[in-house]
Amino acid sequence: MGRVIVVTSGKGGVGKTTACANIGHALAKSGKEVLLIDTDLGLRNLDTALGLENRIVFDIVDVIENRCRIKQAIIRDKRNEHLSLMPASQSKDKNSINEENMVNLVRELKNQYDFILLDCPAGIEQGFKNAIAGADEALVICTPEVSSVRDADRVIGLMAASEISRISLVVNRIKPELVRSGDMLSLEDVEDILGQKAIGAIVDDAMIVKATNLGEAAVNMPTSKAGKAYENIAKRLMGENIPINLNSPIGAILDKLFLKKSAV
Amino acid sequence: MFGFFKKSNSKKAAKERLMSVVSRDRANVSAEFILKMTADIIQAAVKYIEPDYDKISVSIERNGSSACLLARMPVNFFKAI
Repeated sequence: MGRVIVVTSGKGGVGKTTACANIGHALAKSGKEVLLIDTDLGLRNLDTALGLENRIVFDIVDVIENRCRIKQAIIRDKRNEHLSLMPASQSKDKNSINEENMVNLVRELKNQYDFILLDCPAGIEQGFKNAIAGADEALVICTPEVSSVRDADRVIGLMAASEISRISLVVNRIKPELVRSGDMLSLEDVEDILGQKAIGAIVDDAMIVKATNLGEAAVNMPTSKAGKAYENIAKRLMGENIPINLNSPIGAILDKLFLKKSAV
Repeated sequence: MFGFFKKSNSKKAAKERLMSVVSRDRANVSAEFILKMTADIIQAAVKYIEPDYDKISVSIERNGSSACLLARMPVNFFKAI
């Protein structure tokens, strides 16, 4: 039986889709069978993040409305045969699916994959409700900003009342130099506020922009720090115990030299 | 320009504001939350008292930006511990 994990955030634009694509790639690279489902109806994006936008014929709404078989709406990644995508529809809106549809769909697919990641739309409306209804676990992505942390707390609260058994926090786009100078919340600050330890922390990385432009995953770029961080999140999801280390060697030296007392 | 040596602290403000706003958001809670919390509070209290179950009330009272938990639990008798 595969694990079904919803990737959510409340706030938009914090990196859900990128996280989905990268963690999916990383899991598939270690041989797991992975299916990514884009549940953001009307605003599909996971296809372009993976560079699969030209191969879509059918989508999730076609499956639910019985216009095709499930298999026909699943696209295999061009690089990694263990990774597949079920795209969202671009024309239908978020009310074309309900929670029951999602639960049934996931139930049918669950035993064919090790991991199913559901890319959740922003917000806490029907699309969010659908995505969490289908999931057993959640990854909450937030950035070290007031609005994002607040929204993360809200979705964590909403999911606490659901069937979801495990909620893991990912803090994205940390700028270590801003944290050092006292102008950005640190990983530990965010953990304090939300009252839980993170499963991963990702430094702001220009390689993500490049990877997204190309429709490739940063985990496949050996020099990408964010890619490495996503790989570590995948390993932690698979049960490995890898400590979070945000300090680049240079950053650590600067901390020691100048800001030791304030290095939080 | 010399911010490298001077410790700016907008992060401290962000954290304090978040702590407060998140606590307020959390206090704006559902009936389900209150029920669950009530059950836990009773469970803790019955180690020491026998309450009058019919008259227990738990609520959250808000006053501006702060919130206060009010648990009213009439005691039938105190237990020996």
